[in-house]
Amino acid sequence: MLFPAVALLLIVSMPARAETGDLKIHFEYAGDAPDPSAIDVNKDVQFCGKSKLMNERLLVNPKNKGVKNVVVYVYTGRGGSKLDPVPPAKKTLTLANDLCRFEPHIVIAQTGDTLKVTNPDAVGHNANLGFFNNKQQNFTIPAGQEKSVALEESEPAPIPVDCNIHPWMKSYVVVLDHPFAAVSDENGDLTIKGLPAGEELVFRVYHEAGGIKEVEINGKSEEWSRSRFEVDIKPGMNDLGTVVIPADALSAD
Amino acid sequence: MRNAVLIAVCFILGCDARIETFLPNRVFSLSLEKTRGASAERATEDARRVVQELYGTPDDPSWPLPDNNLADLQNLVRSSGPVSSEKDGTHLGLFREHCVVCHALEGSGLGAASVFQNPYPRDFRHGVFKWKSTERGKKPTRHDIRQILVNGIPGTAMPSFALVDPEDVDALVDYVIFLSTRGEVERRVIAAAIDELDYGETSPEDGWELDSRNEGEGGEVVHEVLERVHADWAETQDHEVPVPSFSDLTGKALAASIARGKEVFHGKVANCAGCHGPSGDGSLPTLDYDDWTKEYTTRIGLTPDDDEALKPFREAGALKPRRIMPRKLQGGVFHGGGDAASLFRRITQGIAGTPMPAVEVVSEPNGKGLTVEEIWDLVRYVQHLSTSR
Repeated sequence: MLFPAVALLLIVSMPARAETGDLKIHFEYAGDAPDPSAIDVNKDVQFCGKSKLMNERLLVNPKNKGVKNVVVYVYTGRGGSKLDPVPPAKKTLTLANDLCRFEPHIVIAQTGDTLKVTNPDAVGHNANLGFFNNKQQNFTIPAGQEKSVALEESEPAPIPVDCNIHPWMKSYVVVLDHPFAAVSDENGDLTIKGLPAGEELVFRVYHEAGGIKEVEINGKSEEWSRSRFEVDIKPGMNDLGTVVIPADALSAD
Repeated sequence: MRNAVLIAVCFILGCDARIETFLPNRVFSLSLEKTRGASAERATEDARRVVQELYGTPDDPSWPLPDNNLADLQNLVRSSGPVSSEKDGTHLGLFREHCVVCHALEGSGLGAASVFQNPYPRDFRHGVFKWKSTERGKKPTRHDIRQILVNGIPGTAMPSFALVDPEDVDALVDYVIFLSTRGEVERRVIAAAIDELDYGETSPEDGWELDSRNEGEGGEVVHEVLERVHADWAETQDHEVPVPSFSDLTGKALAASIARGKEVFHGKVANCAGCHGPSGDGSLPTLDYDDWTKEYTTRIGLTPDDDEALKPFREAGALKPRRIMPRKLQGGVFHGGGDAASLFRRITQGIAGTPMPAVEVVSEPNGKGLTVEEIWDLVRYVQHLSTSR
């Protein structure tokens, strides 16, 4: 008799736990896709000069005007959403010094994760992590080696990571106390998965090339004051549609 | 601008005229406007008011928290205000007597003489200092600041104040901590006003305005900032980097250590030569800036030599960006000291606010870091380089 009772309990309690929604957004650039400028490789030219390095500040897909590297996350600061605590996933995320550029360009992490900075290159690199709340560090990573950084505290904004030996190398680390964040791909698409459904959540949008404040969503003008917007998350897929970013909001260099 | 005002005030009223307020940090506000895409004007003005309520004015300083071991109010009073002396020889207005011409009233490093100097005088308001005994991301200790005042910084315009009365030097140490704390609180309060309290073109909703009393959301934000910055200064002595014992070598043992150090210098782990050039001759091309400069240039997407784009920043007081160069190690001048302990800390911590990275200390050679002995070899090589030309 116990078994059906437990099963019933499970069924009753399930919707409350399982009701989550995903948020999908497509980011498009209003202007012409800029040609990313070539990097003037003046250090370790023999190695770094082998691959064609580009300034990655603003990458717009010439085929569909999709904007890469737009970051969207649930904003939990003052005036933001109140989320139930999410246990740390304790993932290990890799930021590679790969052919004299950082891969990926943007790392999204949750507190409790470990950032593994690797160097598969044949030349030495360093990683200058300008953290605000975590321990600020700037260490060397010899060729073929790796270093680990514990991400213990959340950060108020994406944190720049530079290699000063090769000053063109730039990347960003986003550290949040929850996993609800995503970065857009080369088509300008991103999906944040598993959001708590049934409530209006506050999101923040970030792009390194400028502030995203005024946008056009599915043809309608909207103001994202302080780069924030709200979405009433329903169970299942929530497709915000196409968000067009005005050309003068982002600059390629 | 401040200098023009000072000169005008001196002509009209005499040089001991009262200075009613510290100038707000306009350069930082402009950088925020660029990154946040919001007007920082109201936030800057409210932050100026709140910070003045907490820290007072250039003539009448106050200390907002009961952590008086950081800065003694009597010392702050003696360091502030116009220059004068009493019958018993006590000097008053010490900061304006010794420091203001370069570091400016706010400790912004924008004093009248700053443009003529290379490197520029330090802006204390970031709360970041290069020459210190603590971990990279930590504040300097009182002792560190005192050493800078007493010894000066070789190779820069920072002179030694060894001839100044030791009690006056102590008072100035307190005043540097005061200006740095005050300036960092101001910066963080402006940023928090925009990021957290919805400051923009318009004021935030009721109860969200910045407040020097710990009341409402705006007061809470101010006090979180205040407590954090003061705690960073208070706990810094717990973060001094211990230095293992160093032995002075001579003759063949020294020569062998120097030779090993040369290998380390050019080796894959430390890769010193990657920036300082082969044999530390500083011959490699570099295109990098320190963090003080990056804040109003590369970090906000402006090219440092784009005079047009930088115009509003320059008008707000920002100095013309200069590249940061890796130290040319030949010639014997180390800004932060060339003694073994200072070099050990510089190698294992890097230099705060600059591109200089740190090398990890490891117990056994593993290709990831250097052992203490390898670091001492490197130190001896670098010291040896400094005596060659």
